[in-house]
Amino acid sequence: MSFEPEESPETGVETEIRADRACKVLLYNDEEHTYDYVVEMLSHACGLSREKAFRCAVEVDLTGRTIVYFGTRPACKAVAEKIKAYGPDHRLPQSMSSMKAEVQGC
Amino acid sequence: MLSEEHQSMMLAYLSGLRRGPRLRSLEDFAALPSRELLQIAARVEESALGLFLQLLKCCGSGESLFDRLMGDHEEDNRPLVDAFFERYRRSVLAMAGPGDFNPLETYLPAHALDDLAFVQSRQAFFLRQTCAVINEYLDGLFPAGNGQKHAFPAGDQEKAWAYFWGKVISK
Repeated sequence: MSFEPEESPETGVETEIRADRACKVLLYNDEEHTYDYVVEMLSHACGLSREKAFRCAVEVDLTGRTIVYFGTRPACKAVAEKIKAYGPDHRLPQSMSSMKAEVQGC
Repeated sequence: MLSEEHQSMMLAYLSGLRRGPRLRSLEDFAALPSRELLQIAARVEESALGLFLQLLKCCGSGESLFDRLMGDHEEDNRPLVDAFFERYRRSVLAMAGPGDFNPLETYLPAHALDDLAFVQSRQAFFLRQTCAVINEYLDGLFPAGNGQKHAFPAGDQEKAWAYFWGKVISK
């Protein structure tokens, strides 16, 4: 496992950030997707357990966004693509698109 | 969002469950410490957990509220946190398992096939199904007449979609 030292601009303290978790994927809330969809989609796209995916669903519902994955930039981009390609929520006739996700932090 | 009337009803309900002073406002509710919030949640009827979450949403400042639902990430609160999420998950997620119904027949019914934009938007959903589910769906939609059944083998979802889409646009 590799580590990259990083200096915090605020404290000047050198901290270690794991290079393989340097980026993250954020998922954003909307009104077009059910909890069932979020759990199913995150299990597929991020490999989360149903329990963990459900907590992410609650967080995105309550706060408007949630981090669903940490990893390298290519890995995060792949996850974001899977989320984008998952398609609309078939349970809701008005749902016509995937959830919005973006890669941040690298 | 909960209406003000429903907010008041929920606050009265939660006050009844609370062993302490009455919750008079959303601010009182939002100010509850994590452990007490989870203890109240543990007494909420499973059918009312959705309203409990709706009430939390009405309080704003979602991130700090979510942290409180997570027990402020303190080990002592973990059993309460796990119990809350398990109960809420059971009450929210659909219970039907594979084999209970054909998802394509349910969510892509014959009467919806005239709306090509809608059908096309369901391509990813179609492709996620097993070929057994797809074949059964196609048999219902496009019966061959001579008793023959659709028989796309496992892994041929793309071919099945191309066949299905061809049939839909030629209707």
